[in-house]
Amino acid sequence: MTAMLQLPPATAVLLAGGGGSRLYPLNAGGTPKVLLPVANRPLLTFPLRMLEESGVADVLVVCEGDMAAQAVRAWLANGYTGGLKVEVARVAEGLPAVDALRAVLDGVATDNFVLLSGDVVSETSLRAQLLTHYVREAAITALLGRRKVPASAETKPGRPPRNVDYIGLTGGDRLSLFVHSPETVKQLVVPPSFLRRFPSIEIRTDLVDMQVYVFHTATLRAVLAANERIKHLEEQLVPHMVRFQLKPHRSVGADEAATLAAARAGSGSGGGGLTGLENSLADLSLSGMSSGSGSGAAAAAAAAGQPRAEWYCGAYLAPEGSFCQRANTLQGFADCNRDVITPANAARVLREEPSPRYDNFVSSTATLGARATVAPATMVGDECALEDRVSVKRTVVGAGCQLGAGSKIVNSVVMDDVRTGPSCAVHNCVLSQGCVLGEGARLRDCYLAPGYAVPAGAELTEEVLPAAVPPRD
Amino acid sequence: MQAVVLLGQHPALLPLAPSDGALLPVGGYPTIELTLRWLESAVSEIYVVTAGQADALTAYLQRAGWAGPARRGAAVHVVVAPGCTTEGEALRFVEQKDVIKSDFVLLSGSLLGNADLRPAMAAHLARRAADRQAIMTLLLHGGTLPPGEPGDCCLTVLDPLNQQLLRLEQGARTGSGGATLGTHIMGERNSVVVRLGVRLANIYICAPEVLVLLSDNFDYQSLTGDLVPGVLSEQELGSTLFVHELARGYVERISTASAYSGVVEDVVGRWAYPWVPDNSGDPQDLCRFNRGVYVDGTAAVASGARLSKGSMVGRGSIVEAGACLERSIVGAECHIGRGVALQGSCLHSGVRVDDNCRVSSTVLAEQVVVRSHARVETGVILAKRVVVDTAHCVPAGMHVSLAQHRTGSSVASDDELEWQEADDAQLAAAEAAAAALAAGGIPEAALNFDEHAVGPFGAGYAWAAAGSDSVGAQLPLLAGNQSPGSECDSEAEEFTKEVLGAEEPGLEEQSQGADQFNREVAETFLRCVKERISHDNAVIELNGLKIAEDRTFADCARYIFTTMLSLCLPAGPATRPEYRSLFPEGKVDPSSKEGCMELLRRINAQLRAWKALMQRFLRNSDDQVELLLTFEEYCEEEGDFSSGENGSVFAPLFPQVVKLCYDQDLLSEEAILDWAHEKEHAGEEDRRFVDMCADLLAWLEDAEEESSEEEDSE
Repeated sequence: MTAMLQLPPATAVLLAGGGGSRLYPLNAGGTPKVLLPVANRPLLTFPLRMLEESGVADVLVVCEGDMAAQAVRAWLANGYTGGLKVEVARVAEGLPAVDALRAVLDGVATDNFVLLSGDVVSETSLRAQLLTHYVREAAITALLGRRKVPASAETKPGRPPRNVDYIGLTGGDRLSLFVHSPETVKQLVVPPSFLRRFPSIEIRTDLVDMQVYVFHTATLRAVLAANERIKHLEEQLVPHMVRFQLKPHRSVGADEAATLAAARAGSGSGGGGLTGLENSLADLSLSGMSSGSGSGAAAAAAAAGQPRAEWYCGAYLAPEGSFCQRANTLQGFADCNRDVITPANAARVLREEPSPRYDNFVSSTATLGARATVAPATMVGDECALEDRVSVKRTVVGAGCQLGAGSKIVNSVVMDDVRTGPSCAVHNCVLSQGCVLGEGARLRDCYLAPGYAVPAGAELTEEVLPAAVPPRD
Repeated sequence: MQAVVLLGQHPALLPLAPSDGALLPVGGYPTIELTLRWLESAVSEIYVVTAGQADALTAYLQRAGWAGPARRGAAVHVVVAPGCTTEGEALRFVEQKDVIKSDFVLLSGSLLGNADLRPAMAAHLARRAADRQAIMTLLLHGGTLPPGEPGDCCLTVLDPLNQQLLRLEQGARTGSGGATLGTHIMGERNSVVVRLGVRLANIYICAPEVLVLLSDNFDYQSLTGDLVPGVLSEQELGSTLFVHELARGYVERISTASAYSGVVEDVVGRWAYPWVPDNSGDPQDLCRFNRGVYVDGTAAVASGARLSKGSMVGRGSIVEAGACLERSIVGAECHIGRGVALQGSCLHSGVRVDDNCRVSSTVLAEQVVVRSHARVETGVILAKRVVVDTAHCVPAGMHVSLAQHRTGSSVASDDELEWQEADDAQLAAAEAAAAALAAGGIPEAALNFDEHAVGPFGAGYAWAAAGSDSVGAQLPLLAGNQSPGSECDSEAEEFTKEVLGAEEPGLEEQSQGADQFNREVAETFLRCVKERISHDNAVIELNGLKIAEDRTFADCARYIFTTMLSLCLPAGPATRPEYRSLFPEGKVDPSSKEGCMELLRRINAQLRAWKALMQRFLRNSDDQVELLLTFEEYCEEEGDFSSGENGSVFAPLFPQVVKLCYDQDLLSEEAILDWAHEKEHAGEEDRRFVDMCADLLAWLEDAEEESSEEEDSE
């Protein structure tokens, strides 16, 4: 590859959240969401590495509540090995994401900045996303991942799909519609000005907003200042900016819109060390931009006379086949754990090669009993003890676990210090730190809080088990 | 495969083509000749369906060797479908004839093109083989119209993977209200593409099931207006529609005079190759193409004449010295005098243009005579045998014909034979007179020709249809002289005509009739006010009036509205004494602010009192647009209101009154925006009231966006 283009400096705000209610009961022990383990390392390492590789130097991690903030601080001080300059800010617990952003936005000093959620596990190039953002002089550029299972496969014909993002794309990389709703949406409205401006809009349901955005800082400030009722990111802020991209004056007022247009054009091509950026589109396509026909809209905008008061709302599509997921639900968390250690993904996402002979990761300090088997796409952590005839498949096993003789664990996540009795069977489960399974327990599709004890011989299916039983000791 | 060609009759073409336009000359050929040659490459049997008189058409087809024993290539049959005025009726007629046995290509209107239809047909048949339910493929022009371009563009929603059509919207204001998509269409696909500015090619590849569908649903009139929405809304369970974009090639429909001129220009400009004047396939043909100019070998062009690129001189024509042809087509046997300037014009055969005439952007039909020093301005259409007098100037945009304009249904059906005969007699007289005038003589019988149109010694009647060009473009009707939305029953219409006993419901009578109706509605309304008749009974009375006069709801609404406005001012001199008490005593001074306020208060009171009644007659936004147009007329004291009304008093208050109507739910924002949109391309003077409403319109547009934004965020 040719010499890397020097991008203008950008900072990042990482929303680490707090307890992460959607991951309950895994965090019942007080571990903040971003420190939960994915492939035996804190989730937070993945977004931080993504930032570091893109050239962003300063990161502000925003935590909800003291507990989360302290835990993250502690990990950064003791466990973090990356080269970023990371600071931690604390906001009140339960504060909506956009309000949290408002609280820290004053501290952002660069023209553009990255806003991302702490639960993104992705190998996409944030650098390429930043580059698209600069080239398009965009107000916002969002990373879009691809659904593993298309919504249409889960929906009956003639019925609206559930829980999808409706993403409208024009020219391949311009967002012209953005509807995120966990509920079923009955109708989509394409406003008249959009129909006139964009002769062709492709509306897709196979893309998912990954909550990795690049914002033009001044534009975002103006939007947040003028629209105080915006509280949520993907439900409100992003749809708002997409909705008003053709008439920014209706969001922020006419004067402000004109000022911003001038500012964006300035930050793009003037003085910011970005001369010749237009020519670097080739660089962009090398870094995996999926669409080849994206330049039409920008050319049209340029022809119509600069600066246009429009906002360019860009989309950066995760390249086909690349790993790009979020660990923001129990299912998503378990999937991330299982998927990153597969031979197909491990090298690219974990940056570790599995054992060439067995296609798995087994710590050198782990002990395996007689006829214990560790299948491919499986990870076994430090100082684990797998007794005789234990079988582990497509599972992450944390450090210091003891798996009793004849136990069988499939498609699961087993965090640190879990002990199972002999002859246990675990399918599709997440066992949090320090769980104990009595002899012969059989679990299927269960999520266990830290320290949960399952009595011997229990059979549990599809249970979410919080720490209701008194903790051990 | 078979093909069905539905020849259309378009109001905007009427003076040129009294039957169906199939024989209009294009680059030396009749249109139908080129249509058939084009289709011949793709199909083996062609049915030409016409609602008009087929004699001339049949005769031509025989002569040209299409029909009859000595046929060439594809077999061509003429189907006469008398009285069929819409696509639906004509196709039901075809279904009854039971001639269509397989999938077929349907051309709606006089189409001319060179695009290859075979890939579309193959794609259609392949889909049909896989799925019998894929009953129709609509052909689209390639690319999209740039936004803001006028034209009959539509909004489509497609599945990008298989080109299935999920939604089709057509009309002048397509997309102006945005698009609302039901998400149920995403249930079986991961993406859809919304496109505005798509143009239909008016070609459909259909399964025979389409004919069955049309027969089952006898209320379907238009394919794109009724059948397509019907199928898409799953009334016809399971049937699916697809589109095929014509990647290349030329397809245009001759539906208006301007479309006709455009097609002629394109053919001469070789865009529709191989359909060019010098490629008739006839070895006897002597048409030669040289530097963009076609000159027939038998034509005599004087050396002093100038022919610019894109011009053509037909067989046996004479162009004298000093004549200048700029992008103009001269048919066979024409005579162009000295010093004549022809610009962008199309002359059919046998036209005579005498010395020093100036003719620009016009169409002159067969045997027209333009006498020396005359001028024919832009947009004029002169039908067969019209004569323009010496040194006369035909005003821009005028349509002139020897036949008088009939405003009613002009489709000749069996019931109308008597009419036909009367017409024929009259036409013969007019033609005799015209022939005499053309020869410079005096006609035996003096006919009352329109002097302002053709001059004192000219022959021809001016038609009022000059403005309907834009309407014609969007009428997907076979015979487009009934607007699709009009609720008038054609039988009733004929009946009233007979009752009126008028020989020809000419222009004057028409406007007199309007006046009459206006007064009747006004008086009925005033009586209802005076006698405090309940709204329901008033509606019954007004409805009775409407039916008796065969008017539309909007017609009633507009006169009620103007009467209501007049009730805000002191009674005029024409008011009958018994109603005088209804009018307010106090004069208002519209120039003062207090006067305006007082007037607005009165209007508001009237609107509130009669809102429920008005709403009964404002059925849809079209009616409401009609109301706005009437209000304009009223304020300008034009048309129906040119005498004795005080409309101009309301002119300065126009936007305020519109706002009041909006507040009272008499006018929807859609209607107001429609109205403004309709006037977008109008002249300065016509836009006066729209401009006055600029603030209101901006506010409405904002409100519209705002409300859709609210929906978004919910």
